[in-house]
Amino acid sequence: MALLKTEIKKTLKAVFRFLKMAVLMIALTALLAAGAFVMLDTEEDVKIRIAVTLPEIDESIGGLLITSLEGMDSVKDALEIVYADESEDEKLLKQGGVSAHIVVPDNFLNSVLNGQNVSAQVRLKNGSSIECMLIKTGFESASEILKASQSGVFAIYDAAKSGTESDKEILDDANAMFLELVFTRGTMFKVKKVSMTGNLSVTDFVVSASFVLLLALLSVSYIGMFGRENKDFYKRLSAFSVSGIELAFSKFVSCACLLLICTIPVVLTLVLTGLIYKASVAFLLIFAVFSCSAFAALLGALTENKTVAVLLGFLLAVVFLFMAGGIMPEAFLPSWALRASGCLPIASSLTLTRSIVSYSGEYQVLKEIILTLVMLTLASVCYSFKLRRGKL
Amino acid sequence: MIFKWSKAYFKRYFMRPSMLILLAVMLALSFVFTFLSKGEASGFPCGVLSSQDENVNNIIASLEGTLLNVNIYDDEEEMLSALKRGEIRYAYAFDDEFSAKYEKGERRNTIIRFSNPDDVFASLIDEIVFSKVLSVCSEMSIESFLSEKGVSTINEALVYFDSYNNTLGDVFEYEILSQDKKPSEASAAFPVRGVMSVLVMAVSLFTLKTLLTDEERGLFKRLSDGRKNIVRLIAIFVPTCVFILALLLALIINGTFTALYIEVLSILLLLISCTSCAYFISSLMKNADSVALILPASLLFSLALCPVFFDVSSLFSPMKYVSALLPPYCYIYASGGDMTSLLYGLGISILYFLGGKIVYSLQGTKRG
Repeated sequence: MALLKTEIKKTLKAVFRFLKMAVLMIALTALLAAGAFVMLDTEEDVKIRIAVTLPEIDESIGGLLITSLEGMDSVKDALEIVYADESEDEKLLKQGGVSAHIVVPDNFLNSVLNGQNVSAQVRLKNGSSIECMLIKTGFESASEILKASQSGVFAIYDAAKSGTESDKEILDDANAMFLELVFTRGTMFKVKKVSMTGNLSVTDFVVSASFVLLLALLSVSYIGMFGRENKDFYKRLSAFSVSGIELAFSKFVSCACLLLICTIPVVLTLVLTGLIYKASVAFLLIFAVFSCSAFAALLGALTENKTVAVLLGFLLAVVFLFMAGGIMPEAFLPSWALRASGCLPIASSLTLTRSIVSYSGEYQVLKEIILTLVMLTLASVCYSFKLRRGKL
Repeated sequence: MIFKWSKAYFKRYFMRPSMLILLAVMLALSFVFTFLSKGEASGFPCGVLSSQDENVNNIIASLEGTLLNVNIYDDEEEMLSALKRGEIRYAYAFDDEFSAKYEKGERRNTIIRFSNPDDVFASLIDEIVFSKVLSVCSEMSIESFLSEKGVSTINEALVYFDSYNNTLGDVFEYEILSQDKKPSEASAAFPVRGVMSVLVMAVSLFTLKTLLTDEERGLFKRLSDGRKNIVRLIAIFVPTCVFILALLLALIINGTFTALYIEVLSILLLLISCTSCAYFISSLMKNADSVALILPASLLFSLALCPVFFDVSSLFSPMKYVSALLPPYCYIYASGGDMTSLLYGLGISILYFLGGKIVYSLQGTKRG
């Protein structure tokens, strides 16, 4: 108990005494707030850029191609199209911030109409980037739609030809039917908006997860900055019969105190960015404080050097954020990584937040408690080992 | 002299547990990153309400092979609460009389999509669903069209449809310019090269702590200014070199090692630029404690401004002039075969080196 009191007192004093820590905290919060502002402002504008080279054809046909391409909902929502010459290909892909270049050959339209299907070339910048994977998936779907329509029209035409009907009329009607099907496909879908966890969208999550990252960073910085334990320190503690559990728990509590104080500028930033009204973000921050504190206690037990603690804490926090879907959609992670991410502090805080807001969080609360206890147990074991080494 | 100091610094760094732990963690991370970027993508988790309609079941079955990870729900409430919890990202409910309405041409609002209001990929997912709807329901459309027209050769038409569907070629051909992995693997790669290059830069800054501690203790006092500079560069160069070997190992494990001459040139660029950048920063630092403060900030900036996860300069073009000051930025572009970035990176490195030398000589003059 005395150790716990000392640790908390040391933390509270440190927060107000150490100017460097305060400057670092404010600088990083300002940086993340600026990032949050940019993200919120450009939310509508973050689109995948693709370049399209159209053949030199009749203006009306070219116009039809452009209108039908730009009229697609998927294109309007996710893509930004740049029209360019084929010769600009390398420049566009390497320096122009374009993820793919589509070159439509001269006889493309005719070949589609007569079933020859001369391929348009889709040049992807990097086969394994998310943007390129999405573009490829979109084009594969478009290709499937076109192929099904072509097959339908040709099949009707051939069947009519073998019968006694007027070929031309049937062909025109079949074309019209499939064209109508394709062009009115948007009306098939009725969209109902359902917000995940009290309006905590993916973008909100990325913004708040960045703050969580900051918290994780601060927690390990704290362990490194103020927990400069050395062998003498452990020797002195072991003389007072302090156990590893007590040491780990006192580190955890003092770290949580510091983090809760640190959330004040974070909350202020959230007020400025207009995110605070979302209760789920506040939940996420609180849960993250506890799981990150346990993580910091473990890291503090494993490292003796503050620079190593900061470096390791930051790098691991980036991996945690990545595996929680904060940097790219979780959909692109292998399924084993997705399962493993549930045991990491940031992802488990997010899942718990979502479960609590959806009023079904009993199991998740238990999971979070177990996760925190496991990290604290590991920290206790490491501290016990250090204390024993101190005794020798 | 260079060999002697290199040996001394190698011992100084790698006989310490912290540096060995860091190296072990970096290698362990490279294994984790490698596994992260291998294997099939789990796909966008998507819920579909089960149906009695055979065509709907066929559509659901055909969605399985796409980028969607389909979960079938019997109850709409259950599906929506899964969506709210974040277990699925999109939910689709087909009309109870989907096939009948489709056949009659009453297709409006026959599929309900539940999704997050600001999801930019939702329309793209609709396209995937529609492509499957069209593939499955085209035969039905042909049947109804021909019977409406009074054509009796419906069965023949269906045979023709199958035949065309199997023989018509794809209208798009894909060419991948920079390939980090095999095209058959559907998972988006974790940016091993980008993250590891940022780590190498972090290590070069991390070594400043030892360097500055040595300076504070007066280890270099007897050396002339020229020799001091050489020793400072060695102190940064030695661990950076070892960690660059770890980067190479990570690239080999990950299978992203490209042409040998490009790799050698870009690695040399990273080594030179990281060393000179850290040397310049060391001239500005007053004590070892400050390093702990600049480390997280430099890591944050590098991850945000270099095209590790996302290229910020594609959104805001002038940003590339700021990003180019960071060693991993030029390395990432140079490793893609961009020789201009290589030259640009070398130029920046020379500027860093000269900047460091000038600051140190100014400090020397002041002391004198």
